[in-house]
Amino acid sequence: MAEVHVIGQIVGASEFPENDLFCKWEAHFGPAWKRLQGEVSGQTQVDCPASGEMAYFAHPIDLHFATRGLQGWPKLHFEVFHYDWAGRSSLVGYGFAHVPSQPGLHKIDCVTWRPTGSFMDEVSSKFVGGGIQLKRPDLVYELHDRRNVHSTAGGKVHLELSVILRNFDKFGVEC
Amino acid sequence: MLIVLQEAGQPEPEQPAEAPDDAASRESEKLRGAVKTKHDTKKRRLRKKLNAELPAEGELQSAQAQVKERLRLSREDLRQAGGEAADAAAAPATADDEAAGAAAPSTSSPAADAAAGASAKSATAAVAAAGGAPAGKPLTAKALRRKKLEEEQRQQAERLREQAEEAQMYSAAHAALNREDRLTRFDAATAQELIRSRTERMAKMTKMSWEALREKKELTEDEQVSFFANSVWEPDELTAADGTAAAPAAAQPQAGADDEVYVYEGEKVYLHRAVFLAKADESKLYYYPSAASATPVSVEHPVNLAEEGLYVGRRPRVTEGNVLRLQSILTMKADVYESKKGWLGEDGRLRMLPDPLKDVPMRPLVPDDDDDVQGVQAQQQHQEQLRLRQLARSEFRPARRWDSPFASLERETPWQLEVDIGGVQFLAHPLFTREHAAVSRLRQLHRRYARSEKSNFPAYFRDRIAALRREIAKLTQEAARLERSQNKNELVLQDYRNRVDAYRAELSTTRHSKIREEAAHYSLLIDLLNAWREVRDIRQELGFSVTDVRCDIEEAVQSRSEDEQELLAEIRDWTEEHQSAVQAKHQLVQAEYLAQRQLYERRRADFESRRLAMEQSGMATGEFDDEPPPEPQPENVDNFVQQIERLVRLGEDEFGQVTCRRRQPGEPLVRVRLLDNSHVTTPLNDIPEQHRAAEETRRRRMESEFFYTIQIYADDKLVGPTEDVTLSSNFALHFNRIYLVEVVQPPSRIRLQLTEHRRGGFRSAVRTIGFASLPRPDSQTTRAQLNFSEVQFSQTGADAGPAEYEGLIRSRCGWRSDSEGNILAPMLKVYDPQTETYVDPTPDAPKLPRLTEMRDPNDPAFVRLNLNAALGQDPQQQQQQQLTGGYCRLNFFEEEFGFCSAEDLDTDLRFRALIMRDRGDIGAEQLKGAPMPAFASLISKEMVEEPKRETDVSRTRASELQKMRMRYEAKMRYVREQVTEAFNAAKGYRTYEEVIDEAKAVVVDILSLLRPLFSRKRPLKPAREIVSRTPLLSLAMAPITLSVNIIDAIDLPSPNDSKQILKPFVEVTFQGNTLRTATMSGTNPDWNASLELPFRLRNATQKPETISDPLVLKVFNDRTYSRPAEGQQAADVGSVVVQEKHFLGSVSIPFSTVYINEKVQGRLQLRVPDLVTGYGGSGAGDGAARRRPRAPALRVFITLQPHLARPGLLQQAFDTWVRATKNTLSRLADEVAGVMRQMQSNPEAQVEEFLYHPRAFVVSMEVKEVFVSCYLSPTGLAPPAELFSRGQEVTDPQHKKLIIANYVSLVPFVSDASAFPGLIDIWNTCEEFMDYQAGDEEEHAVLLANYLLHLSQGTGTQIYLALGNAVPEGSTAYVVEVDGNDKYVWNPSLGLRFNAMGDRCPLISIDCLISAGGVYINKKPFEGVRVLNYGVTDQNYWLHIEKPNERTFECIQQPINYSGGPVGDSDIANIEYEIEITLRKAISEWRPRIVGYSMRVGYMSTDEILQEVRNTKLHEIGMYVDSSDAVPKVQFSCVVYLHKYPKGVLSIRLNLMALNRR
Repeated sequence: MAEVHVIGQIVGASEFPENDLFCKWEAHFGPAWKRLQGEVSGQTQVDCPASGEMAYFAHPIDLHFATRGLQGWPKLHFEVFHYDWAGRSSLVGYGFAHVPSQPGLHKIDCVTWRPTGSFMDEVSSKFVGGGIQLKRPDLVYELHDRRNVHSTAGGKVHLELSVILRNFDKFGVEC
Repeated sequence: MLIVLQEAGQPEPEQPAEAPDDAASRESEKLRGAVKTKHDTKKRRLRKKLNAELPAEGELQSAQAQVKERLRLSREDLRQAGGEAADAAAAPATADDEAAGAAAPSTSSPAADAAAGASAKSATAAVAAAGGAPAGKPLTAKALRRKKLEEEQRQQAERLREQAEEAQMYSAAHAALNREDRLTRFDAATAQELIRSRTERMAKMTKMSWEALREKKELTEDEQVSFFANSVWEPDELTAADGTAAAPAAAQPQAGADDEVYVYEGEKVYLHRAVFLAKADESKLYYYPSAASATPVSVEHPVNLAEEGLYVGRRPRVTEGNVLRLQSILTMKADVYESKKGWLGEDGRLRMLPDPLKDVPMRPLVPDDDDDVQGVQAQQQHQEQLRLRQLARSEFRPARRWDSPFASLERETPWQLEVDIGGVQFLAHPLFTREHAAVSRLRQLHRRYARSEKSNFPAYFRDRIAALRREIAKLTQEAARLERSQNKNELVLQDYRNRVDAYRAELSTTRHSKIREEAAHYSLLIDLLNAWREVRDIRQELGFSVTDVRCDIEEAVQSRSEDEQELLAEIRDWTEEHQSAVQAKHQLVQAEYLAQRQLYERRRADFESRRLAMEQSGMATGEFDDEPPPEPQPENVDNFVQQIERLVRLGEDEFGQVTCRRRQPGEPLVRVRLLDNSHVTTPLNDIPEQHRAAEETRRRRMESEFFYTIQIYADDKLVGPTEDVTLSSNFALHFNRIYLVEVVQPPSRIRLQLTEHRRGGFRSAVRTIGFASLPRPDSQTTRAQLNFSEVQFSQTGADAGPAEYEGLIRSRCGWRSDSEGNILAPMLKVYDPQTETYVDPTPDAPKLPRLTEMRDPNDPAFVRLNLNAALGQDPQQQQQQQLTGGYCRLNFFEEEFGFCSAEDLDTDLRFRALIMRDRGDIGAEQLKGAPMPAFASLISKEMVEEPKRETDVSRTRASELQKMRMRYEAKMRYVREQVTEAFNAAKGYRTYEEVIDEAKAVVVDILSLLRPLFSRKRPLKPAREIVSRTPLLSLAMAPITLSVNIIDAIDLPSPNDSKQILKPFVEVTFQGNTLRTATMSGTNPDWNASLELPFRLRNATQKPETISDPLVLKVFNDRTYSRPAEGQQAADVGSVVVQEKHFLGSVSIPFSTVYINEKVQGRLQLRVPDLVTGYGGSGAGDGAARRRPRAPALRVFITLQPHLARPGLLQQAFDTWVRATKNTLSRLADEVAGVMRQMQSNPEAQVEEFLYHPRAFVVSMEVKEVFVSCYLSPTGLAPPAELFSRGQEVTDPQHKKLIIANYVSLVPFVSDASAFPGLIDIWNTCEEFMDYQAGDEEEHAVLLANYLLHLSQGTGTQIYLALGNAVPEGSTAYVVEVDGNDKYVWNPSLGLRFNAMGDRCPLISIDCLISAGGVYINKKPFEGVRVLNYGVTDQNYWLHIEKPNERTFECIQQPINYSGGPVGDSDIANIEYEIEITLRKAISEWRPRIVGYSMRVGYMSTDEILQEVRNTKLHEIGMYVDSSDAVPKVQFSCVVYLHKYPKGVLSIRLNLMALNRR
């Protein structure tokens, strides 16, 4: 019966090899959670920064959850794509960040990674573009198999999330 | 003792010059003297040597560059040490000496002494030059003195030269010191060498003079060493040195003066820190390996060179020159060094044993740390560890380090895995000969055979059978005893029996197993023997053998009779067992049979007694026809015995098939042993045939060409290769090495990859021929705890034939344990799905069953876990798992940790309300504009209840017509829902403009700046102020009024009574409020009245467009007259003023029209009754005149005050939706959009917005977008012929058109706009329209247009459907008829025709004309209807969008079937009756008085007719008489006539009359 409001924005993404980026996001939460209002997934616009290396999205996130337990605390999962001059979008980063459990405003940098293929894959993606992607994106936030994936660090997705909690103290959860 | 080389030997010894006091100065004086003496001695000796002109050594030459430097330094040293010892003349000499030193490098230096001599000469010359010039004048006087001086100078020069020589010697010593290795590596061998050479040479050297030695020209190193060692250590010199050594001894008090000897010599200096003592003692001090006993040198016992001390770790570095010299010695003067031959090898190098140490350590030892002597050993231990670690580092590359969940848990030192690779045995190899292959097979068979032999299953089963038999016997005895005993416990007995049964079953299985095992072993043996025979055959055939395998076959002769007896015993036992089992079973069955039999007997007796009773009572009886239960027969055992006999003897099963073979009685017991290394291999020379020998030679050479390594991979990361190993004679590779693998994270597996390299040939080929995977060991497992495991590998050749390589890799892998016994293994984490983390496994916890319990076998994420569990467990455990595996949970402890149950979440009112608000089910109206309450208790249940669907057509007393109407409503509701859904979807679409708020580029419009200059000062047209629109939200706060301006009316009907003057007034009714204007007079009154009607919403959140209350304007004639009061005779006495309102006409405007169009402005045609009794037009009484030529019209201006914002959003959203979803019509949409752009960009068409978008696409009943032209059929639709054949046939086309229009207008008008918030028109086809008998103006217009099209076929008349703006409907659909120059406009819902150019034309503007062929969009809508004057071909006015000639654009109109309809004749009578009764009743209630009307309405419902009638206010006639006249004097008459048109179109005629009795 406790409630969690997550209000904030995907500020932008930086430190990626390319700057023309957009980002798909999705909120994941356990079965004990119930979304009351708000969109749980979305996609930002493509930002092609003319100057500076950070792509700004300023994409709003406004979620309202009701929960009956702490398990499956919501997390945000990101897929950052590069939008190249030919209009193709190629993956440059996967990442996820937990919604903070502390009420208040949080600035979160979500680090991302990208799977690396063989040497030839890398060479071809260097010249031709594209690259390998995960078959099942839930690998990003499911911990079981990720260690088998060879990966390279991507950039960061910057988040600003305000978290409002309600009624958690009723159930003995101090926050 | 000689002390030299202070700087070289002893860095910075105490310098005597440093002593400051007197004693010190005396001391230094003494020391100086000593040093001088020493120098002199040295000089003497050196001079001797130098004069001898020893051959220049290579090293010496190389060191000569340093000589000069040394020279200078030694001079300085000397000056420092000697101080005043150098006299005044020394200073220039020193300078000269330095000059000589500087000059020396430029000289090619043929010999050191030559250089020194030159420098000395130059020094002399310099002195002469320096001293000679001043001494030139007193030459005569002091000749003697000069001579003396010269003498002194000469001596000085001599001294200088000596010093130079000395310095040279220093430098040589230094050069020798550079060869540090030789000196520091002074070990026992060299010492011995030295000593021996000395002892040998001692005697010789005493005789050998220096001259003699000099003659030899060339000296070996040894000679030099011996010579100088001997010559230096001459007793006299030594004593002298001892004498002079007193002073340095004081300076070095701690040094053992007697023990330390510094040896040097000029060219080559050996600084040996050797011990010099008396010869007798020397042998004790040095270590002579073979000193105790003379080395026995014989052929039988070769010299142990290692014991001789020949071994040195590394050969001393010998320069090239020395090597050359040595070679020359060896070749040319061999006789001299005959005795030394043993020292040097053939290559001329010092003989050495091969280095026993490997480059890399094998099985590095863990240092023992029994800490006996802690202090000392701690250091050593540490060093040892360091060494080991370095070794480990150097040998083993560290494995991968990557980011991992373990990263934080990593420690400094990596974990260490030990991979122990034993070896590889090839089972197939390309170099195998036939014999090899056979041997390989033999080996494999033998391996199996040995295993089988070891496990010895037959014996095991034999024992087991015996044990079982014993147990059975015991149990049977026990059971028998129990049975006999008095107090027998049935339960115990039963238990015994059950156990016996179980044992018997087990016994039978065991016997079968035994036979099977014996047979398996036997067949293995036979195979083995066959394989050996094959090997033997091959060897015999070839005549030689290449393998060294031999087979030892032991045969133990068995007595046939014994075997027979054993067999018989077995058969007997088995039969016995079987018999007893069968007996036991039979007993059971028998007992059961007896019980059943008993039951049967009882039943039978029962029946008999009953039958008897019945027979006595005379009733018919039947026979007892139950069969007795069959008696069980004991099973025949004979058959089984035969079977067993066959099985045991011959191995035949019951079908006669031989399934297993056993040793037959009398056959000897055979035991086979395989012997390796039995030297049966034929030597190459003995191979009989030449070509076979050659072949074999080649094969063996190839064998040696191949070598193999194993690459060790930790998780696909190469850790390191093993060393190269060549094939052994029996195709095995012996590694026997332990490889250390350092890991920072435990690899999931270790992979070994066997590669083959081939030496020689043109290229060295590398092939990977096999893999072996070692599982990652348990974190508790060290290497030592594991046994070697053999992993088979095979590699097929290129052509997928039989395996080219096949073999077994013996290896094991475990963690290393350090010196303290700690296992250098990480605690491997196990993924615990319960906590979703990796946790440390507790070794004692039963983890696997727990995991089994938790996982969902269907979840792919757990497949690996399942697999691991399946691999790591024995089948029994797996079976248990399968049994318990039915239970699984995915989210652990969610229920337990939950705050509440899931139902609580679902039922919470607030959450439901929030979700509904999110879905849009709850709007602001339900919440009354307030935010969502924060607590569930504040939310009413009604709010969150799902909206209930009204039940469908189920009204009991509903006529067909009503049912049909309700069906229509249902259908429309469905369509509306669909469209609303589409809306909600469309709401999500955002246009670019909506999303992006782009600031417009600032364009400085010069023209607009200039415009004020040229604008007129007094504009004729007053600038209008734009009324600001109030947003909807403030609707509740501000009072809103409906402002109705009634300007005038024209053509009102005049009363028939010409004396009367028409006094009309207008009543406006809205939402129950009624206002009226003042009364004017005349048929064309001019009121100019402004009425303000309050406008209220039913509740705060009601949307204005959903208000369905109509605004009704009614025109009345205010007739006031006086008449004599009742009962009064004289008119003057009491006349009564009678005021009557006579209805003249009305017009009804839906509020939504006002709201959406913002205003209604113009002339509204009044809806007048067909016949108003008493009012008859303009005087003429004939019939033709009764039809008024001109209908009355009211000019109004209606608007809302203040203005409300139009509900435009939905409309736009819908448009967006339409545009976004139509794919097939995108081309047209683009065209339309282009037109719109064109219109907007047209400067002439600068209308702010169009009141009505020419929508080229409309929504059909199927919720699809349909091009409007598709609603018009090119040939039109045939109207029902019945219409024209009433009475006489109608032939006049104009009349026909009127009839049709009438017919169409009679179809009830049901607006879908008022109920539709978004102004969405749903266009029905004509068929649907007629079927449902409902529709709004589009439907009417479409139907009318289609009819007119049909009628005007063949004539030149053109019919268009016109979308435009009309009064009072606002945006609506009309039909335009263009007949040459005549243009007519049809109002389809009223059935009226107007002249388009006339002033009454209700159509104000036309947005587009629609024909069957396409759409004509009006480019100039502000021109009004006048654009019709320009033909549709005029490109300036009309834009033609042609209907595409595609299938999707085909006409959707279907011919209308007029037959049948929902209204039957009886219905008509009913309706007539109902209306009449209702009206009578109503009028009697309303007190009607006067006047009559004849009305014609379409049939919708009686209520509406009632409304119509009430609007006439007929009932009020006579009401407003003064109060004295209470008795009503009015009689009313009412006639209803219903006419049925085809398809159930009903026309109702009402005649209402109020008869005022005069």
